Amino acid sequence: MRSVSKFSSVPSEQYGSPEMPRDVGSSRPTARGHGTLASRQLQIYAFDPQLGRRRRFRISLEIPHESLQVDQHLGVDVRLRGRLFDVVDYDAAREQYYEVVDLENPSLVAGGGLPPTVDDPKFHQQMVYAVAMKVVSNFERALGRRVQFREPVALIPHAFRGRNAFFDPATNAIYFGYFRADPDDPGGNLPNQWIFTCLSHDIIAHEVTHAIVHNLRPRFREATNKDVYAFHEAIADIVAIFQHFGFPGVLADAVQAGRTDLSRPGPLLELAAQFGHSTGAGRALRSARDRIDEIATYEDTFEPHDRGAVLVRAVFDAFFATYSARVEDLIRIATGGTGLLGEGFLGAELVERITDEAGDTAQRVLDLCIRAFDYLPPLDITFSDYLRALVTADRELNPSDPYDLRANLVDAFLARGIHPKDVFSANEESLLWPGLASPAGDPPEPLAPSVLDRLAAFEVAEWGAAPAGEDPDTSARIKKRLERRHDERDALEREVRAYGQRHHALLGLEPDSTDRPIQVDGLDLVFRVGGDGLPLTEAIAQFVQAGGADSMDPVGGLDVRAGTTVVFSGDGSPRYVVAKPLTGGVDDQGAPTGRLAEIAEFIDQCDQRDPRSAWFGDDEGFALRMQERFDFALVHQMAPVRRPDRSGSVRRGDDRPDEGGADRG
Amino acid sequence: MDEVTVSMYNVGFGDCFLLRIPAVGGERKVLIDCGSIKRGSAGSIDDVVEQIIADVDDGSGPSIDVVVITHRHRDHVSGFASELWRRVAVSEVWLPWTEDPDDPIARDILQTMASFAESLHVDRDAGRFAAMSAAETELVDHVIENTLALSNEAAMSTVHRGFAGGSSGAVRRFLERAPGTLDTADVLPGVKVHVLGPSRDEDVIRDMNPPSGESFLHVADGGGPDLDASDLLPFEPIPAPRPDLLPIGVEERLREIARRSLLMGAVALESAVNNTSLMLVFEVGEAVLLFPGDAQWGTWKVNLDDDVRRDLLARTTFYKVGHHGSHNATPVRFVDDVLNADGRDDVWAAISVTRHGRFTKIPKAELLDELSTRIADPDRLVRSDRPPSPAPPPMSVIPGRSGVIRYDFALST
Repeated sequence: MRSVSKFSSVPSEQYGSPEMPRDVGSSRPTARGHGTLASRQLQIYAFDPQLGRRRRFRISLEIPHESLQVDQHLGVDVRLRGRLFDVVDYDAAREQYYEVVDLENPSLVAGGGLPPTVDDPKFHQQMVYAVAMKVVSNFERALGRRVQFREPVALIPHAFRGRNAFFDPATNAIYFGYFRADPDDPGGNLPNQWIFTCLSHDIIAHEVTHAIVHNLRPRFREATNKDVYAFHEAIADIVAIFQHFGFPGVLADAVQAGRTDLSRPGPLLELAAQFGHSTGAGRALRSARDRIDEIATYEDTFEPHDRGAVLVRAVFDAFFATYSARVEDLIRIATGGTGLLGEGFLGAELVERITDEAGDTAQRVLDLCIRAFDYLPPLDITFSDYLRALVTADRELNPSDPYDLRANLVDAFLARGIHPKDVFSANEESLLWPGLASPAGDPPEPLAPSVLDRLAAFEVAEWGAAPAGEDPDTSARIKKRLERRHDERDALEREVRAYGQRHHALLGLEPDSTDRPIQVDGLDLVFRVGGDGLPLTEAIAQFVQAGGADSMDPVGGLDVRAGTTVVFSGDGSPRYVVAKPLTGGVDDQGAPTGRLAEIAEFIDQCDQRDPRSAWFGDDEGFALRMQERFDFALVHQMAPVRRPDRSGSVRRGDDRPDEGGADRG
Repeated sequence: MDEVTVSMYNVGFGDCFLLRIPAVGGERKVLIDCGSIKRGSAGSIDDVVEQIIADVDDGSGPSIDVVVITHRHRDHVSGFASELWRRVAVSEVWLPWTEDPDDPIARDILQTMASFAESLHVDRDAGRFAAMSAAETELVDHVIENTLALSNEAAMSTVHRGFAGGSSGAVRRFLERAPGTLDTADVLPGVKVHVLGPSRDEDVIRDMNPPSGESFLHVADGGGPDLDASDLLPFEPIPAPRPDLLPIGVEERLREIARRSLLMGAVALESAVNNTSLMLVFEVGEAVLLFPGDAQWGTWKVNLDDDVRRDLLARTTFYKVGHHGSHNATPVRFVDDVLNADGRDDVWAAISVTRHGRFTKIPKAELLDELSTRIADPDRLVRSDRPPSPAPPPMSVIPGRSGVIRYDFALST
């Protein structure tokens, strides 16, 4: 009815330009004269608003600079767009959007962004973007290559009401929830106060790490053994907690407060403090160290977060041991050779030097934890695989290992019951991944040099600026360039795939066939500078092969495959082979054997622990139950957080809610 | 030779067992649970209650030495809502420690469960489960019906305050997992009672706490906010018309996750209550009777990992199959490695069950298969909904109005 529509809301085409996607009105040009900055400073809460009431926990984060586009709708800024992330503030609980912050606004660029505050959603968006980019820069630095998403990941800071946040591969978005603090036990917050998961550095870093890990190893979402999801959780926590060590002031405070002992309880080692306290747990959500009377071990844990904590703590055990070795001489120098620190405050110079060593050690361990990804199988990861990848990766880059980081890692993993299988010993040489052994003893065929050259050109283009004369922001040109790159990439992958087909037996794969094609899941070239100062170039190929008809027997909807990662040296020779063959099949009785039997056993363990087992009918729900159980969106939810004893006194001491070291001095 | 008699009442989908134990000074009677959520072939739960009361009356009025309530799910307690229990003299009532009104942790757990069940109820009545499939709705309805404190109130009142008794009424004992045996010299002389659960271990208590309502995703269903204005963020949204900026499928995906999130919450609540289950072993000479309630993995694991308790479980001669034969209440490890480790030919396993709605995995076929490899005599693997005809000795069956109302098993001591 015309008369009605005339007075209804303004039609959007009146404002929007027809070329723009959907009803987004316009994009603000980004070239404003600061496009050549190397980095961007943005203010954040170092941890979260609860700790951030203290001045020293409101910090400025330095992240790589990129030109951001701000999309408008009816004159309002509605979307922030970067190379890797879109920030869209949609709230599904009310089905509305909030205006987004224009981080290219000159006054915000100059002033380091908006100051931290809980009551302005624009600051929330800024913090989500800043922390996400910090995680990216840590990954890029450690991997020696750009993080690439197929599409930018949407960051949605106030996506829903609820005590959760998650990365969802299906929609390529990270959703942050908001909720009310526990009315009876709000742990240092007001009862029923709004708590925002998007204001927790740790939750943002954790979820962004999930997204990047998913990008590096998409098949780690297939829960084929009890370590796979635990590994996802562990890496996400490791990145989040190690990022604390890079915060100015925070680390020095911890060095002074712990009198150089960094393993003391405190915000440095805790994950999502406000989340934990506000939900009545009486402590941070998780921690990099054991609680009193508790040692997390591999055998005793099953739930992904609990089990992931074993890996997190093993890595931090190794970090503490390495850090102690590195600062021992400094402490001796500062104490006239005794190594015994006297009473009172530590001298400022000592704190500064120790802080440097701690920060550097933390960065090295974090780099290693990330770099080890290139030495991981494409699927079916176990903690034992991860230890071998850590050892191999570090040995490649730092053969001399002056502070015994590798030995410390091995010791820490063994101490928690993580025992590498099928290796000769727990010594370094046994833990390195094997090479490609050709049966006749001939040197194995190298990857063609032309493949490496083209890969190198590809990667260099990614790091470098756009070619001169090309306007980097013209979407048509970007699109054309991307298309060219996709074609080039496809051609490269075809050649590498042919290599895998020729050498399938050496890679632990079956012959390529229509049923069981060998595919290339990933192909990367890596530039690094080794500990000896020399450049190190490697190409990493991930081969996967479908399981075939036998493996499709009841596996609860899991995608069961064989997979092998091959690390090629700069000259093309295969250097390491990390194989996950799909051994076994189905025997005469119809029972699975080999790796399939292990998967079946794992599914059975999940069935036993899952209260839903009783209710899965004979329908699709049962057939797909492993998918249902291992969905990033819901896997957090079943982990209980409430404190066991809510009625008694708040436990002090070890699990004391640390409001930022207020006891100091 | 003295024998222990176990009677399994055919309550349908629920549990009700009566033990008759020979003792100096006369036989002792122990009733374990009395509830049903779906009637069986022999009649309603009230018919069963009448039968029990007749069964425990030896001429001087109905009396039971010990009434055990494993946990407060309706399918284990609904029968206690009957007024007939006022006439029954009971010496002791045993309950899990989570029922102790003087225990602050127990109070808190019950309070959390009750308020969560209530909020599910409210959500259902507000139509928030509209998008669920019929099967999902049925599951949520089941949880609400089984858990809501309201519908169990009369039954729980009997359990906590009812029954006839001595001058001070029946004694309530709140039990928790502990080594050794319970002191039962007065009430059950000659019987060793082992309490295997529930534990007060922090991890187990954690499993008894259902997630809070705040854990679940709340999103609107496409028709604008479904929360009260006070529950909306105090931020100003962009005025209409709305932009359309979301990656494809975001809104649908969030709705799907919200729905599954609520469903998981309902299941978590059901499971939390099961985790409070009292798990008992009665040892009378050679007879070892295992009543795990609906104990779940956490309680089982701690006992299977304990050498003493595992040896005890290995000597089981009568196993009340947990949770009506569902997969997650009887660990494979127990059946394969522990149950009847000596290969005796007189070990029993009894499943109290009837087909209930869409819960086709109860009892679970694989579990029945596993059990049949451990129970040497096929006549001793019994289902309450599959009466044998004729009953093979040493079992006997007692007919009710329509079907078998009671199965009796004789266990040698």
